[in-house]
Amino acid sequence: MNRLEWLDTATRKILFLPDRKAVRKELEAHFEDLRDARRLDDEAAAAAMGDPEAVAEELGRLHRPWWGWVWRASRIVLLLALVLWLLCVREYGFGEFKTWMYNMPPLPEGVTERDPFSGSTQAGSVSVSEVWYPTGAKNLGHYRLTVPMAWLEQRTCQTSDESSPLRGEPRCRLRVCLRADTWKFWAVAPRSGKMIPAVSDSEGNRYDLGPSKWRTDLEESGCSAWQGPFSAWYLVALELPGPEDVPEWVELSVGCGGDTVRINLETEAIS
Amino acid sequence: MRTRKRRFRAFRNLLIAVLFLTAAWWRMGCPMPTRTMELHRSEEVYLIDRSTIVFSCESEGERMLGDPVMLVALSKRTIQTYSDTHPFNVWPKNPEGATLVALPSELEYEPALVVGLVAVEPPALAETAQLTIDVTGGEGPARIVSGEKSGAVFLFRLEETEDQPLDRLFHTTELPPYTLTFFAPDGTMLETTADTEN
Repeated sequence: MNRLEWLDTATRKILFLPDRKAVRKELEAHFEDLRDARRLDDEAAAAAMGDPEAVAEELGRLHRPWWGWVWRASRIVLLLALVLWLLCVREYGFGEFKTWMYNMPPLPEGVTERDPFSGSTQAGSVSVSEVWYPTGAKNLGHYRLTVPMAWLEQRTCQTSDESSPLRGEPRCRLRVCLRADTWKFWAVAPRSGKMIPAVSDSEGNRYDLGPSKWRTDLEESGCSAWQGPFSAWYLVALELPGPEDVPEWVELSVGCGGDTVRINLETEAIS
Repeated sequence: MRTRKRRFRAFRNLLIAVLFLTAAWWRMGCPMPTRTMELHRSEEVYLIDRSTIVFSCESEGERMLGDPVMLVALSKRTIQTYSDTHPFNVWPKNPEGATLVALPSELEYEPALVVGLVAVEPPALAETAQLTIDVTGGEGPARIVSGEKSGAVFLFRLEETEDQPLDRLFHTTELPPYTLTFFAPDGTMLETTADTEN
């Protein structure tokens, strides 16, 4: 048996090709060292290397092909995933990602007599006369609902239109911020009026919100929303006759399945 | 040694690939593989009990935009209608009998617009059904339509006429006043459901 035949036989049970080439190269180097060291010819060196069938069995046992193939496949999968990601970035962009990651409603810092919403396009002044920080949380479905803040604001409209009924009229509004967290980023609460269809309070009032009331700047009650990767925020605004008409509690209908969350403003608790 | 290195590298590559694929999927809006999964995902998002699909049909209007299939799904307290371009309408169930819902898109577009209304949870013995509906707001005669039994529901096909436009029917969850009547195989009247409020 010559050198090539010995090497072919000894490596034939290594099924993963890169391994077979690497091992064959090592054996070939060993073969040549042996031949040179003992000054043997090819056939004698092949005999000195041992039984190639036995070597093949042992090498085949040591070099299972599975991890080799898995490793090769993983490289292809990684490359395809990278290409798909780059195509997505090209198609859908990435510009608003930073905005979306930190997308939250503007919340006042506390009681203030000055306009807390800097950059607001509204003519007039807004003051926050009372603030609540309800504690606790409620789990509904896959959401964890919390109320970071509720506040009472009074807004005076200073439009130049003298015929406007809003001119100079102070308007009192109760604002409740609801946050819905979930780890299921594929099922985050939506930016939709369907999510908070109605609100009721301890005074027996019922405010029907929903798509027809879906505005961000409101002359009357309604709801606006912000959405991030794992959270959605809802800012509910309820028109009140005056600052003394703040209810003891408000109850928000959440979703379309009849679930509610109650925010007690006196005890600052959620249930 | 070589095997251990390969194992580590394979796991590392697959983990990074999963991260990239997840990010790409998220960036595309987390599309679900099937329409039914999209419907159930919408139900989960809106905190609606998981539903059973009771009716499925094709829409000519939807076909022009992509996938033609429309679904009607039944939950414990609500009924949902779904198609690719009209993702989700939620209808409260009628606690006293069958509930009438409008399909989210046109059944037919040419030569005339045909709208589909579906009566869900009819009486078990009902073999035929009749719908009387006023789409003119009281200004004209009510339409009387016979229903086609399709599995556990009845489908009513309303064809638009010049003096009775119907395009508003399937973009809202409020139907005009109607009366639904169900009949047994021998013609006996089984149940009448009416909604005269809208």
